[in-house]
Amino acid sequence: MSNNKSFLIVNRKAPYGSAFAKEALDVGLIAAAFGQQLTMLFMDDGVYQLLKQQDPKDINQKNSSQTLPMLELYDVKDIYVEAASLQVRNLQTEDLLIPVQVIDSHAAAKLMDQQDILLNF
Amino acid sequence: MILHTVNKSPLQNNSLDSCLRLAQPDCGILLMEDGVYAAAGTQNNLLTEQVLSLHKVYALIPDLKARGLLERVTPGIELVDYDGFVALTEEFDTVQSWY
Repeated sequence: MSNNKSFLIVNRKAPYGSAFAKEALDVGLIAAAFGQQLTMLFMDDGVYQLLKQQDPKDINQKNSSQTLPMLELYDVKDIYVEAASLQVRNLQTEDLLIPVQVIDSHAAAKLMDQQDILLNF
Repeated sequence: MILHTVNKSPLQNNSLDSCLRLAQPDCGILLMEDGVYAAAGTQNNLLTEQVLSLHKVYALIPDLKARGLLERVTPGIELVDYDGFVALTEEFDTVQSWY
């Protein structure tokens, strides 16, 4: 039996209003550091985690968006965003901090089907 | 007169929806925390021109700034800092929190 599993982290919450965004990223980086096959999916308000120009120092929080480029350093290349979630928020990929692959809901469902482990934040 | 505060994203739950259903003309509506996403305008935008002409709508600057939204605010929404927030709570008789 292999110790290498495929993980999908589903990010559905906006940053700063709760700790979900930060914790999802922490778990993702740990999984990647242990050589697991990690995919990140951002949908619903989770797409707001990727917005450029975040600056939470006046609300005394750490800028979790600054950690996003770490994913690339950890060789996490499978970062997906659901198109419908972007569209309903009037966002485009140019508004996002890191390169992502935009997929439709059908493709997102397939992505979930392919995984050994699903983690939801 | 009531100051309504909304601290949840309009696409996450129905806090803003309920607030607008009960809000009377001339009341204040302050968007804060994840509530400020409503100020950035979404499709099926709840804060229409009509709503903005009926109620005074405010959004908290530090929360907009944290979320990268300062340059995306719908015209007609007034920006306030923490001192402005305090002034609003003094200006209105009571505060109703929608969360």
